[in-house]
Amino acid sequence: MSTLSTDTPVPAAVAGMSAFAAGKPQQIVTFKVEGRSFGVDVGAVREIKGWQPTTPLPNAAAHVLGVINLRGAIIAVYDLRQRLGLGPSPVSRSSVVIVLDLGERYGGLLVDAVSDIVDILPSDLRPAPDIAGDGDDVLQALLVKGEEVVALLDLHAIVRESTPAFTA
Amino acid sequence: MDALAEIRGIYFDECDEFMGQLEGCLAAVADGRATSEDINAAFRAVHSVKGGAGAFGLTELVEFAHLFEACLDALRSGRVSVEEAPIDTLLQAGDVLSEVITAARDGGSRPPPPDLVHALEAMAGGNPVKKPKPAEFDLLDDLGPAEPAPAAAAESADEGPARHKLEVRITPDRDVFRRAFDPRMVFDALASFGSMEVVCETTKVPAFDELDPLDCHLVWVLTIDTDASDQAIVETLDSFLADHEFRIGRPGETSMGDAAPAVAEAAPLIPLDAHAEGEATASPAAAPAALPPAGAGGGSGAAPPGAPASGQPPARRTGGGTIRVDLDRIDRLMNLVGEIVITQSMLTERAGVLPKREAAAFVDALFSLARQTRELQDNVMAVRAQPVKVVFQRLPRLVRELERTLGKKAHLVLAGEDTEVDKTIVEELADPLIHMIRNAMDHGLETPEERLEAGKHADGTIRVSAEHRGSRILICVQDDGRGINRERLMQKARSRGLIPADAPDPTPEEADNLIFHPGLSTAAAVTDVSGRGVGMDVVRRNVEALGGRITVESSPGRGCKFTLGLPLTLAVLDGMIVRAGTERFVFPLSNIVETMQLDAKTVEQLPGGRHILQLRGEIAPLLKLRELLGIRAIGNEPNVVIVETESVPRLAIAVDEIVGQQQVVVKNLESSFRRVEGVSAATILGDGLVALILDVDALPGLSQSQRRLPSATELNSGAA
Amino acid sequence: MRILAIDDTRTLRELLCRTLRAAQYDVVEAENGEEGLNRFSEHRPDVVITDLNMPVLDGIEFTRAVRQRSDGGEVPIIILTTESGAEIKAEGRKAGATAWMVKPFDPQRLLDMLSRLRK
Repeated sequence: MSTLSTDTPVPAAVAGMSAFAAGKPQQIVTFKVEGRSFGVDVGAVREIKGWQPTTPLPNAAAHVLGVINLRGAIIAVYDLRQRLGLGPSPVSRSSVVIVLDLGERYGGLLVDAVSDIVDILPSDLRPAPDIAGDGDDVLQALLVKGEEVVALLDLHAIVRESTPAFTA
Repeated sequence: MDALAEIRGIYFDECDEFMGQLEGCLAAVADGRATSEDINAAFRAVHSVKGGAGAFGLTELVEFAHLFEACLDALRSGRVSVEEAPIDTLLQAGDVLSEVITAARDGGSRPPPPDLVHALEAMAGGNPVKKPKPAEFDLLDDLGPAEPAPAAAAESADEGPARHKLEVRITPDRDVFRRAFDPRMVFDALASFGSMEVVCETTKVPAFDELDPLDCHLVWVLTIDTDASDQAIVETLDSFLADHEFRIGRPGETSMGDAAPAVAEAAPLIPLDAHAEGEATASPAAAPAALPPAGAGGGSGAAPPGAPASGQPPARRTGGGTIRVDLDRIDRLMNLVGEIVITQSMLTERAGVLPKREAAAFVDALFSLARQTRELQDNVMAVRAQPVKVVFQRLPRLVRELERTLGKKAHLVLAGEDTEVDKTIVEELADPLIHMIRNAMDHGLETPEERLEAGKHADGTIRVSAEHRGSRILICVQDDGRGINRERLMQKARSRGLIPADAPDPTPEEADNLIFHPGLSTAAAVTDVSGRGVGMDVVRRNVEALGGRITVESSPGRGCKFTLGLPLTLAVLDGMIVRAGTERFVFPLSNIVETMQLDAKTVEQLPGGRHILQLRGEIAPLLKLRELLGIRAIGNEPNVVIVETESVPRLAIAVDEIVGQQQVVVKNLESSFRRVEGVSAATILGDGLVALILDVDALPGLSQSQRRLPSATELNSGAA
Repeated sequence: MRILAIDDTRTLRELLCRTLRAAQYDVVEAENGEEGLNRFSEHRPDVVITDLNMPVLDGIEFTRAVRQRSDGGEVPIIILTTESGAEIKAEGRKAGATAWMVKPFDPQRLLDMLSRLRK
């Protein structure tokens, strides 16, 4: 479920991005998955690290790749491509894991490559289209910069296991 | 925070400790198993509460604690025998004291109930307890280096008596020097009241050959020109001298009697000690009973060295002093030990790549390191260990409160309070325990009428015990109430679709364990104590989050027993590493019975595809780890780990490879992901990769969720 | 001047020690009589202030033990307690207590007393 609907005005309704509401410029980290551009608030990014093998978790959702050791702490890694309904990510040399601060814990997001850090203004934002499609619930808003459209992600929606394969 | 507020905070923290001690001691008194040390400890706890309260001018608290203390003193001194002590009054006093403390902490007031005060006064022994003097000082204010300022004199100058001459006669006990007494201390103190003359009388000093220089035979007569009251002077003298060692009066008055030894015995003003009398002075040998020979026992009393004269032997001492340490520091220490364990396993892995000659010495060193790490860890753990008493001692009060709320009577029996377990576990124990006691009181125990009707004692019994079992601690909460209403529970479960209509009847144990299901409760009425359905499922969740397990045994009409199994520590465990496919998993060593190669001849397939393993005449369900955890791999699983679980005594789990044994550091998975069924935690192995620690007790359930485990009857038919 | 302050109640010990330290005394703390004896050996205090009711080793026992030491005869021992009964005071004196002060203590009075002992 998206936290946005089309008829709500932008940018005030962009949930979780209070700085936008305040009308301040903001920085986002953009990255690519399957050629498409995505972005997350730079404030949520803790570090960006290369791919390392994950330990799979039994009975977890398909986009939960498993857990890794981040300097003694254990964090779960999520496959964004899988989450978007585009199938499992092929891991390559440029694959990176973006370590995100999810509030109560950290989580890793496997993406094809990190592109850039860009400055945005609230006026650059558009509401996410309300089309029911695979993975659309993770979109928070769209950022239109010239030709490029960057999908801003709802981090909590990404890590959510909407249909966990197993419930106790 | 200013200094006083800080100390006030310390005081109230300390009060919690004292109240905890008191609870435990009173519970012991109530159970009739109190030792004299319990009573002493109770006395000291209340005494300490009072002492601190006095310092902060908490009058209400001081007064109540004082009264309570007097009662405990009566008990301590034997004026009131423990058997005859009004237990309820003492327990109530404990509760009220706790409330008064809370009120004082919050700056409020909580006057103790008058009938309780009367009951306590009665117990304290007829003579009404004197109210302690409330005192409040400007603590810590303007505390420069002390001036021997005549503070008392200055104070009393306003309204004290007019200037007059006062005579003070000091006739100290002969052994006064042995208490490091220096008459100049007294002179100096008195000099602050006004101008003073001192005359020393030496008439009682014996002949030189009979003189012990450590004995005091001197008498001093002081004449003070002062406007201070007699009371102020007496108070000053009182600090240093016993009543019989000084007298005050008008000039000339205090020597009465001394000048005429003949009337000494009759004169009430005469010092009472035999050796201070003229006769005794003239011939010291005449009073041998009262006066030990000089030098014997150092003069510090007639008791021989080592013999306690107070009648109370000093309590046994177990260590060489204690210090308080921040828990954070111990946690950091524990984390470091965890890191060392990981580093150690890294080194162990590297040992394999060394040339043989070097490897031997390296492996030796690794063994030492392993041993030392283990010892270090045990010691750090011991620092963190706490007896479950810390939690248990809160229970008597809880039960009493519930007795009042529910109108039921219960006898609480505690056992194994000294069982030690890691502090984090102790802390986590409190909530489940409280929940279980509530449950037992509310749902388990019948009303007194119902009990009598059922031929039971009107008072119920709740037994709470703790014991070590391997690397786990078992906590049992047992009541002698009505037991779980199975039919009702089943009925509800069916009506809510929790049990499929076509499912076979669950065993009684399975039925009873439905009590842990969210939303099921057998209570006929919703009470404000346990609520409906909220409780046991929450308890189970909390316990499982700690890597623990909870089970219930119930016997209708006779009671119910909850057993809580928890690991002794959450930090480190001994594990056996196995491989399934490409993944490694850790079995807690404490669950493992044995490991073996899988012999195909011992495996039988049951109709329906399930497998069992013949194990020296016994039958164990055989599960495949790959299947359980959804791991794809090809080839056989040639090894088998036999584990003991709470529901299945012997469970065989086939794995690809048994990698080895090692200690692993437990990393919580809930906080980084969520609870994963079948997995209790994660750990980091020597190569830096994460491995999952299996929750062995949950594995049978994991298999059931995919396909049912063979039932007992199937197993038997399979074996036959 | 070095003072050994013994009290099992942390609050009161803290109060006592702060009072003494504020008055520029060198203070050594102990939680009970036995620890007090150990500190006594280690630090050779000039004066001892001790509580009476303590676990392990109470104030009277402590005083008696100090007086039995070869180096413990001349050190003034002040008993600071809530108890003021004649009997217990006599017992304290017999054990060798130099002075007796009733809690809650008046800091000024205590400091006055100490300043006298200092001479």
